Amino acid sequence: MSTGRRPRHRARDRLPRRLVPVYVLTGGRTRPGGSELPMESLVTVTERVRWAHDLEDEYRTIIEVARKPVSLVEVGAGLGVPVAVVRVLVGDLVEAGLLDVHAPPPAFADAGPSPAVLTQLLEGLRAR
Amino acid sequence: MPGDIGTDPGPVPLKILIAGGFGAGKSTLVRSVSEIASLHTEEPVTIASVGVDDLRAVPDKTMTTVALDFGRIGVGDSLVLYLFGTPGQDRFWFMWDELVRGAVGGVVLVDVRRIAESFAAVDFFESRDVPFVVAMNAFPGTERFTPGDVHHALRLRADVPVMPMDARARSSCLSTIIRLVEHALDRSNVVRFPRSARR
Repeated sequence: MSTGRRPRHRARDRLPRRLVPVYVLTGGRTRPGGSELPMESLVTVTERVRWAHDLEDEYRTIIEVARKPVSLVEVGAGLGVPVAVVRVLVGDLVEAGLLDVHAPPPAFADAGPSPAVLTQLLEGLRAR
Repeated sequence: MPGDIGTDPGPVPLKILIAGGFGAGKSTLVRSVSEIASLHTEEPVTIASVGVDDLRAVPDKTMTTVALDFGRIGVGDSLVLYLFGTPGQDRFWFMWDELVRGAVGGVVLVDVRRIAESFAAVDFFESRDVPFVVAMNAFPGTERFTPGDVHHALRLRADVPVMPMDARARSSCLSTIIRLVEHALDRSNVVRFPRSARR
């Protein structure tokens, strides 16, 4: 007779199949439009991820990919969820102190990237 | 050091829009030049909320999705450049408005055999004063057209660069992107110097 607990699945090679709709993942939360993080905003893990345990699959996946800078839209494509959902999940991880967000400087929104940044981009692209 | 993140000011995301008519080669360009397998996302939008920037699901509105192809080029340690292939359908132009905010600029891909399909993209960038270049994709039978022909046919401003390009060739795509950044830099210098000089 087996009374064993259901095994917990860890360290999967592939993303788990989602068993619940995305609005359950985010607890039904959405955020009002207007001042949302642009979808190219980058996230990176903080030092505190070392002490993070028992995270849900989606959170753990985000933590894994964010060891290098990764954008909201990439996270969304990887998880198979829209950016609006990624914003909520990332927001939770930022609140928990596990992620840093690197949004584009606000001045870009009005006038585009600064000449200094464009120059740096140009030099980097020419060096490829 | 790889993986050692958090002590510097952090990476800066940048983006370029790849626009043009249906079948002009937008996805091919993104795929050619991206360092990751180019990715695809479907973003839900509410048709009735066009221009309102509102993604809430309200039952009496029509929900649909907008497809976006995107790729990525890491530039040094601190810059990450994203390329977004814009959705072709006119009814999704409000999506472009979010995409174009803060962008370096745009590449309008042209199939010169169907040049009229590029007008919409040209108008979009012109009306928002966003720097753009026009790239003539190398489809068979298009060799006889010159950049001057395209410049004239699209009634472009004198300073807008037009160049031949092969969306299948990485180096050709990269040259086009470099030309766009040069153009954006020229424009930003022209626009910004008078502003700061007034102080």
